Amino acid sequence: MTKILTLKDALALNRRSLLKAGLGAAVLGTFGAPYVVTSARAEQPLAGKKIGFSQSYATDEWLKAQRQDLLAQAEKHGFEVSVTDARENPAQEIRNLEDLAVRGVDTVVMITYYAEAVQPGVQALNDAGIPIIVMSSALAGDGQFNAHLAADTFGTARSAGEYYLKALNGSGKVAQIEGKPGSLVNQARGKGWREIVDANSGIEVVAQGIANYSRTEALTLMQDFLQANKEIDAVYCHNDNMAKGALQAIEEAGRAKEMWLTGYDAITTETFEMIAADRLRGSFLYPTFGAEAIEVAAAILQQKDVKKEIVFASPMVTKENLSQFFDADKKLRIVPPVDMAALGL
Amino acid sequence: MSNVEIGSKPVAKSSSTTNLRTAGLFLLNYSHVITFLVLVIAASIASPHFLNSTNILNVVRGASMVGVVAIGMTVVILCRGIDLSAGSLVGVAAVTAAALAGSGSPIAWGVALVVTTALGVVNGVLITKLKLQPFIATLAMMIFARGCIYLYSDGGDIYAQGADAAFRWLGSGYIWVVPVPVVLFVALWAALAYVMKHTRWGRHVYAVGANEDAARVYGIGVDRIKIQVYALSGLLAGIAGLILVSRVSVAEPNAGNLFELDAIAATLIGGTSFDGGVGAVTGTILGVLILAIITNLLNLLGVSPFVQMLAMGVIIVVAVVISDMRNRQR
Repeated sequence: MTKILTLKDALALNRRSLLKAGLGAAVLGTFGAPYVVTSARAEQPLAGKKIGFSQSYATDEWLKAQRQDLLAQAEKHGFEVSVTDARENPAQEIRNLEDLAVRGVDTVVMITYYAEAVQPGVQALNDAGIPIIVMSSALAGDGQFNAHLAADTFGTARSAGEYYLKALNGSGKVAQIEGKPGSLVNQARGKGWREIVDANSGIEVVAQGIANYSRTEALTLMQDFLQANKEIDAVYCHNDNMAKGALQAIEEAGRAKEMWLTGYDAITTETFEMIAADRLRGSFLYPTFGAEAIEVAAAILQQKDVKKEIVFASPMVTKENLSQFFDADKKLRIVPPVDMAALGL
Repeated sequence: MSNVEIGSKPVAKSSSTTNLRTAGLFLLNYSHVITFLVLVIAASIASPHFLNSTNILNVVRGASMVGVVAIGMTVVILCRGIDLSAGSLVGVAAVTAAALAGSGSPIAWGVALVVTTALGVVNGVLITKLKLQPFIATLAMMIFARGCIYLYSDGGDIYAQGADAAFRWLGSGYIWVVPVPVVLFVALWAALAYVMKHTRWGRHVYAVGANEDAARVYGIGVDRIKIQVYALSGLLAGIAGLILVSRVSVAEPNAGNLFELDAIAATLIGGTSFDGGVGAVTGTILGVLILAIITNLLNLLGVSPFVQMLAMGVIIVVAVVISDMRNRQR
């Protein structure tokens, strides 16, 4: 918020000013007094601050958990959260972001599968001077943001590759089931793993396909893989949902003993129970960032310095360490407490 | 494969044809049959894994859900309508049945089918009584019904907890060696093909689709037929939803998403005309299988899924062009 507004910004603000709730702040900014705005904010308590939360494809289990974690943490601070969902439509996501800019929320927390496509929406928020906290995939282009919370997806995918090398003793035939092609996270999960696996001549990727993170699509795809390949030793799935669909195909074909699977996310009770029952070899946990994003938002609203890039570890959940992540008696995911030190707060 | 006789528009029936034209017409009329056969032969040559009973049954089982939706869609399109809400209604049935699975299959299935049929009736009423265009009415229903699902499920998966054996049997069971969804799909197709060809109701649907005003003059209850057609589409979408939720034991909130587009594509490839009154349920079955085999074959061959989409786009255009040529010949 300490960015001095340029002439271009000011013009953009004027263009929008008729629609914009935060007009007063904008005018102050235009006349070169951003610190007035800033200090006014610092004196206000956090309760009642408005957080705009922009998601897309909110029907995914991981995104649902993210929403729950975020809303629960927001309630602790008394934030008012406006949730928007773009239903997998980048154009809708742009409109949602623009609406949040027009409504003049205090901070926007956002996640997108379409970093390139939603740039105009990000620009609208930048023009309105609203701080942005980005989760997961990074923004593209020259979109400005205040903090980016990310898992080290590429690093995790590489360590997944290392796991496959070790577990297969350096040789075997594997299948790969990918999620949504446009997602940067999906791409990193593929690239990191392939880098390690392809560098080892003993491991051959015999089948590769896209199931769009959907269980039903993965079921059909895996049926075809099984049909075309007499020998598969392991299946690398870009999320747990697809691992479940693939596993159903494998079990129906009576070939569950021949191969093992891993997924990503480690979020649902079903996943944890499948790991406990040895049906799923493991899942690379993907932090939801929900609670953490709220803590970062609180820090930004209190004018504290926030690290721009915050990277989280992504452990592999296996049968051995399951109890750290899952309360088997209550059948509940254990939401890890927010690690303020890791956030640099 | 009887879409010629039954599909002709009444006005065009008297035209006389030469032998050559008859041969040409034959090729045009059976273009989807020819496409299907060529595809099966090509697939058998291209992949040693294709012509194998497990694979064939997998393909048909996988296609059965869209297939059941598609035969309902065909009846709607024959009646010169469209049902964009079919995919959402698949989802409604899946979620409803999953939520009620603990009460036993009869209740879960019954309620789910009543709900989707009722939503189909609403489509019909919006179109006939409020005079909304089918595209608009069913588009609204598509959004509304999907919204209901998201609202109820809070965007999460609904597990079919406490489901009995029958519940799972519907999607995953076998009758002898044939998967239950395949049996159901074939039975529904046979029943509907019979109804469309041999009953007064079926002929009325064709008549309304071919020329609504004329049908009204002949004393056919056009509004009643239309409402029944959308109710039927809702019912069949519901059955597809039951198969889907039974197959994976969980209703994803986006279950059935875009099924309506696959169903429409299959209908068009199967030779049914968007102009109403021309086509048949049997052609649609071939359309469904053509789409499913393309995906299956390209998966077996390890071809990129993006290429699969290109192939489908091209096939739809070609199918509609042929269908147009056929209709102009009459």
